[in-house]
Amino acid sequence: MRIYIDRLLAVLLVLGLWNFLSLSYGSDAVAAPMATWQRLVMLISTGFIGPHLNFTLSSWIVSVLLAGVVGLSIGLLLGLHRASGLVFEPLIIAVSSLPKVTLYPMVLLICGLGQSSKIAFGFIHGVLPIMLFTLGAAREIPLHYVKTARTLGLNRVATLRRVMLPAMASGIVSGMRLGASLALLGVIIGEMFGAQQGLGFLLMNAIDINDTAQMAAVALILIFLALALNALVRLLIYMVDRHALRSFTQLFAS
Amino acid sequence: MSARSSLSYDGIRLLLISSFLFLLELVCQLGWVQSQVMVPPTVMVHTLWKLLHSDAMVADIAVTFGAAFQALVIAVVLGMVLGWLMHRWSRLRDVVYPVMSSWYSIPVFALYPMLIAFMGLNQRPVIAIGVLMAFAAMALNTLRGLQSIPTVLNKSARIMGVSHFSFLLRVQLPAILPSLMTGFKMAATYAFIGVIMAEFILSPRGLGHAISFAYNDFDTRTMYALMLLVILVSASVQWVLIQIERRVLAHRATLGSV
Repeated sequence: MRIYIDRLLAVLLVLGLWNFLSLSYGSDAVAAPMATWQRLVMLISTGFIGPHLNFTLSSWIVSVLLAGVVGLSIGLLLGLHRASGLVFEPLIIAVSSLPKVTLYPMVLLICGLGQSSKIAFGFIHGVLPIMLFTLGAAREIPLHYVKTARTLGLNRVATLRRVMLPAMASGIVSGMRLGASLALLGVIIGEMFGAQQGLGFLLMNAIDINDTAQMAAVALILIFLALALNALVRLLIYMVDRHALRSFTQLFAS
Repeated sequence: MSARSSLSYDGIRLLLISSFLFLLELVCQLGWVQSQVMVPPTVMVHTLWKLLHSDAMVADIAVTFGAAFQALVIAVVLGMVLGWLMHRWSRLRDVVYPVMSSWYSIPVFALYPMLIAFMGLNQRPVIAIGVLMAFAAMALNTLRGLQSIPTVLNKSARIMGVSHFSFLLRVQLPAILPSLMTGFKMAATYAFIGVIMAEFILSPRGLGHAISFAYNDFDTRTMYALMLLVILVSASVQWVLIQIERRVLAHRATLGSV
């Protein structure tokens, strides 16, 4: 019970601080919480936000799917082949610690101004953590799991499906969660430059015309969207994880 | 044996990178990709060399590094204090921890326009974005370190009658050094990314701004030269951080064995 009161107090504190900032700097600098709320309601009730939200979400889904497939397969290969894993891992870490926004002009030049450049940029953000986590998870599969599977007479495909993937589940899961979140960031950053649609575009547009209420409203939408998607991915992963764990324990119990 | 094998892995890596660069050079020189899309690596290096001789560019680079450094310092202090407070005060932890643990998914740069509006179009909102990107990693790692200190350390310190301050300085701080190092590494990366990103979105100065300016100016050569610079800088910062980590942890190991 107390924790809910504490959370409520924290939210009120943030709102109070926000209102104070708005009052002391004027609404030309920071829109008041109330004005932001009204703008938010307007954006949603007039259906103005719909196509933009749709654009962002569809780019995100495609980029997560691509990043998942590519990241998992490359991560798995690099994790199972020790030498190539040791060669490539530092390179992947180096690339993922880059400020990738500086590479965006290159993506724009190669993919053009359309949706594909946003998907590509989301993909770049998402694929690296998935690859790194999968690599780590594959490398850390205990050797006796694989040996036991061989003794039990499982072929390669069955070993991969029934033993290795479930054993890697928690690593893959962490990678997918991080990758999905970062892909959304990538898509939004991509939309801020050279786009005509999307939430990132709305934010950039608000900056250009100095519409503070819209800036705050879009920022709020982005933050809630990120948190909601994070929670959704967490839920999905929880379900998959439990399933994987079950099949895993079944195999070794039998 | 391990030194030799790691040396050979370094060699393979070097070979891979250089053959990639060679291929890129070849593809560009043969005219298979347009010069507006990609420039050969040799041209990048040459352009970068020329850029490094111009005072304006050096000033831009200095601005970016200054901002990233300030952001890092603020984020580290803020993160350590917040992490310690969360450790000491469970009510704060219950409220703040869930936010911190999903902080990486929050697009903090969405707040950048508002920060500009009330801080002005100067380095301060840029530094603020760097801090916002970096402090959560530091706070989480500080908390993680403090939570995982073995109870035996706390108890024996209490038995020995260690004062509050020296407990913090001589027991807790050395015990969480590895976690702090992890946090520091992440914070340094995030601060740099945050600063460059903020400059890229909207800023009158800095490396990020220079890249976005070159892009808008169709100055592909300058753009790629600066990207190369960012890549080199980012890689060397990572390298330095790993070396520092190794030193710090090695020092700690000798202390522990005494």
